[in-house]
Amino acid sequence: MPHTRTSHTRTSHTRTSDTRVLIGTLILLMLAPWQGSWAKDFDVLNLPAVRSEIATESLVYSIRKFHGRIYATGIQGHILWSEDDGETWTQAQVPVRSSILDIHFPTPDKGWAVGHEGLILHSVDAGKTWEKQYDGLRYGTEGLAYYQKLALQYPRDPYYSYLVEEMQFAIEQGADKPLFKVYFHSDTHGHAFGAYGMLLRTRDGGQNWEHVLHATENDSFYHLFDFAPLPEPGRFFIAGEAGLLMIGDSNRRKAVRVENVPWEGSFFTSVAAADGRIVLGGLRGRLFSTADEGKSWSEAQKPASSSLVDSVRLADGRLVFAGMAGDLLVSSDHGTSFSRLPISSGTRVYTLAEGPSGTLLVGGPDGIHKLTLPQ
Amino acid sequence: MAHASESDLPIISDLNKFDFNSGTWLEKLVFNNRGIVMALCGLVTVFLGFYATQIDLRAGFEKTLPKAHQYVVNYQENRDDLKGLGNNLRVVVAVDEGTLFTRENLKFLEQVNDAIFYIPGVDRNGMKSLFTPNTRWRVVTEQGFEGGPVIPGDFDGSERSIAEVKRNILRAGIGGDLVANNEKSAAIIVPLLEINPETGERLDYARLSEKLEEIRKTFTENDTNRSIHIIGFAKLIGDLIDGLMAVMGFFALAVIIATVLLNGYTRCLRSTVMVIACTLVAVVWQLGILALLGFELDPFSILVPFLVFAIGVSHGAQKLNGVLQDIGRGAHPYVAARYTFRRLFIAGVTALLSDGVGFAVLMIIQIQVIQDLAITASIGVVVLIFTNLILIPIVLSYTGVGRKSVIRAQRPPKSQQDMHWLWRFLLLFTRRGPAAMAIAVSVVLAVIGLVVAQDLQIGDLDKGAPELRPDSRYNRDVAFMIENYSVSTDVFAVIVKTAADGCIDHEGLSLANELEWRLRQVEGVEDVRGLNVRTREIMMGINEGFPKWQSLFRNQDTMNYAISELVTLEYVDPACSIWPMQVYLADHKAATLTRVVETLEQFKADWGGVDKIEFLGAAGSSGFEAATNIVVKKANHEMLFYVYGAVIVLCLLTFRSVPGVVCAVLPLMLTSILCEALMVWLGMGVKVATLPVIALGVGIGVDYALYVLTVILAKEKQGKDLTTAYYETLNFTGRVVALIGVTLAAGVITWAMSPIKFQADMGILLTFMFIWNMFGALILMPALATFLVKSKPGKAPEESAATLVPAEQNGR
Repeated sequence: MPHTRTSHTRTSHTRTSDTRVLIGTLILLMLAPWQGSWAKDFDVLNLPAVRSEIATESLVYSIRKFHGRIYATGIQGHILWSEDDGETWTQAQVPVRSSILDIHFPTPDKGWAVGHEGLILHSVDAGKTWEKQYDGLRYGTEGLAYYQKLALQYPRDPYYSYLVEEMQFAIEQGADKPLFKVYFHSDTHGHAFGAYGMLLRTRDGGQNWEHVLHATENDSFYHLFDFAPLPEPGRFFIAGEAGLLMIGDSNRRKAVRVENVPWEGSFFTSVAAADGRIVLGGLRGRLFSTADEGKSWSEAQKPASSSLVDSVRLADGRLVFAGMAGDLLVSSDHGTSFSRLPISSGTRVYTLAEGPSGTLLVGGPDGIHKLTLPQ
Repeated sequence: MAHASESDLPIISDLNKFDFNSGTWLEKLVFNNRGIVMALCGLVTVFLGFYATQIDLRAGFEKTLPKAHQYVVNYQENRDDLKGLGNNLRVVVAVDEGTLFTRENLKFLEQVNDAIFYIPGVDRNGMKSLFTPNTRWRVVTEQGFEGGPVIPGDFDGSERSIAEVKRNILRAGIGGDLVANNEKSAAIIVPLLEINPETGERLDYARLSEKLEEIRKTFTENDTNRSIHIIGFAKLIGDLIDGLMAVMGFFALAVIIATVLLNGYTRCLRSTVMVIACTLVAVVWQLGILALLGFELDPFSILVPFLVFAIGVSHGAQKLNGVLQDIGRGAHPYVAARYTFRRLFIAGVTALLSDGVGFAVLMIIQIQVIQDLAITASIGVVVLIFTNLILIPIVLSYTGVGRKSVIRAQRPPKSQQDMHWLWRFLLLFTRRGPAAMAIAVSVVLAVIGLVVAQDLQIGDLDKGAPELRPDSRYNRDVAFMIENYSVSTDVFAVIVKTAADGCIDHEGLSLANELEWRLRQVEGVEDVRGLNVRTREIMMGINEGFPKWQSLFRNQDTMNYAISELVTLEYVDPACSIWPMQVYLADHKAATLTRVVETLEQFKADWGGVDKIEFLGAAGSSGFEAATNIVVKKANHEMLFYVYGAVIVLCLLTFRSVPGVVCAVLPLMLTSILCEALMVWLGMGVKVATLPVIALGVGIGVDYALYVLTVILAKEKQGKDLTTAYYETLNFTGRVVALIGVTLAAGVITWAMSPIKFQADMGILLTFMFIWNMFGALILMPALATFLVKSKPGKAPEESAATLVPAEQNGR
């Protein structure tokens, strides 16, 4: 198993020699970005994020709240955290300059972040410092080895050779696929998924990231955009491109496609309502909900809006969806009907989270804004 | 001793007794053929006068660029391929009350749009506003794209269709660009054609500007609620040309002021008019020669005729003074003129040459307008040798001077006690106490000046277009645009170059991202736009507009598609090899520009090794200003070094005395220091326009020293004490020195009213230098001489007042 061996050496190296990593990072910090003649290739995967005064005013892809802290991820390898509900932000040490798209902390200290270039980052200190666990260059090579082995094992199954081809294509393309979402069911067991059906799983806190593409019913390799947990433990809902909806089950290690699709457009965001319903928002502001894992759907009553790109369930159970033009929709009936919130950041909104007492934190192309929710 | 004594120049009232073979060969040549000389001058004046009327007015900006600076070289090499820096006008139609979105106001916008459409020189296909068909909205749907024009085909001005227009504006994402976010105004983007494709003619900026003003007038003259704002390079040039016209009017004013002053001094209108006329002949010649040599008048060189006139009048005044004194003592006008020529020609040439040194030093500055200024001013000085040193005495030899002024001149010089209080006050400074006081005050002034001058900034400090005044119509329009639209007129453009088809390379664009990111950190950078920024946005657009795709991800197919769209939108040239990264700045202060330049240079030092892509400085108004600031800062020191070097050499040759040089140069230096302090107080920075001022101020200022100090030194050598020497000097040349000061100032002070800001700045500073140098020569110079120049006792004091302006022959 060549791929596991490589990942073993890699992870043990980084785990056992924190000081060496630190020194290495320092040397990189001193040399890499300033030594043009030495470092001929410019690659954001090899360059540490630089501290920036304007990080909170720059493009933010996601704002999330875990264990009393608020995290924001953005361009140029920005990961910011705030311990005072978004009043002040601190920039984390990140070893790359990629766009960081999502973040999840299953425990107060352990967290993962994903982003462009198939990147997975890991932190064990509540997000102060990060190290690279995975990147898109490994996706193709490890996937190829994995599916070649499976293709040999099951020569009768044409799907494995199909996936071998897909992995060869992935190698050709390089690290071009973003991971849109990361979710950890425990501090060891997690999923990361993204563009072109990319779906990875770990059961050892990210020491190994396994391909599980073959276990999903997504042979057109549609993008996977968002994730929402279902009431039954281990089961979750995946929303994707062009009407792709899947029910994942960690225990059965399978993601099964929802056949009864309400609409064949892209669903960018999903949220579990307080009553267990899954509410989906997507292109052109379409909003649907299901209470029975997609067997039946109802379309929400709502005013016209732009494409819905993110959503949040507030502590009081209200659901808020963000339209990318900056329009915000709120539902007090678990997603049956929505009305427009009379507040705006004056610019596009890409993400949102609940702020302190009756406020929303919204993020977009010009950073983080705090909006006061009408009571 | 050196100055001509009575025996050299006997008073001859009868022309028949005059020895026509006396004097130098030049004097004989000129005066013995004075009729022919007059006729020749007349012919030359007619000939050059004809050409002078043909001279072109131009207000191009290229000549103000430091042509040798790498930034400008880069721009010149790549300008033809650089897209997105086009010659655009931005016209904004605004309402004061209510919103633009009413039936009448939208109709009004459409009418203005149509009126602009028909102006010659407008690239009609490229025009963009709410009412042009190329303004469309587009949204992503599950089937792909859906779109249409922002103003729908069935637009009827009803409430319903206005609501539709508003929705379309939102969907088209043109808020803040074509429509202000407060809904009170809308923009019309007007690209211009440098060459008219039908006629092949070059764009006539003056006419274009005139047409735009016509539109502004017709549409808003009787409308208090609606206004039209216009900015853009073409409008700026148009306004500058208008400014040039206004400045030409000031020339007449300068002539009147000089005439009044000179007449006040001579009290003889006839000879005053002659001197002014001869000086005007010099201006005509100078303009004619410039036209013949193919020079154009720009906002800088238009000031040269003023300078030539001012210098000419001051020299003419001395000639007139000489003739007046001789006639006063009974000489025949012809003889008086000839004596004056004999006495003053060499002195005049020396003085003019010293002015020329000031101009010539400007040649070291590698900025075309300044070099042109140096050349045209030098031509003017040469012309003055003919008109004012030769023609004026000849003309005066015919006309003589009026009787009244002769009687005035016949009055014997007053004794020290009877002199005007002002002269008596000046004489104080030859005594040790007051002299020490004067020097102490000067030292204090110099120290204050030096401290204040520490804050002297490089570059232009005001907002808006630096050429025009901050409160000009144009700059008010600029302020309006900045307030209501996300545009700034201060743009620093990095020229990004790759091999052909290289603009799609991911690593290259990543590097562009890196530079963009570094620039965004810089204080004063408002926004950065360019191919890489737009590529990220389009890559998101291609992927259903999902925000997490707004990144430069490594999918080459997506990138190719995005950039092919951007080629169509002219973000990059069709060869996909060159594009501008436009850095929008909050202002064009030197500190801001320096930070941008340093960031760019540091980036190049770090990543210049990646050879597939080059990041070159710089185009855009701020790019040029940054380059200009660098050159100007360096030139400022160099120029001071050379101009003082030249002046010191000149003084050494003239005085052959080190204390003399010190006495002459220290007052000039005090003026230079105070001039810099004045610039700080007035909020002026060192820039292309103020750079020549110090060279001109010092070059012309040394004239005073030549007049006053030569006389003092000559008298001292005769063994007179300083007070007596200075008394005599004041009697003979002091009044002329004062006259020179005010006539020079009269020539340039009118610039202060110019609508072109840098001309006003130059006018104020030059006036200050001319006047202050005069005080320096009359107060500080004798005070310094009190301590530095030791009189040589032994020779019999000579109290005769018979010698007039005597020292000019001395030591020259």
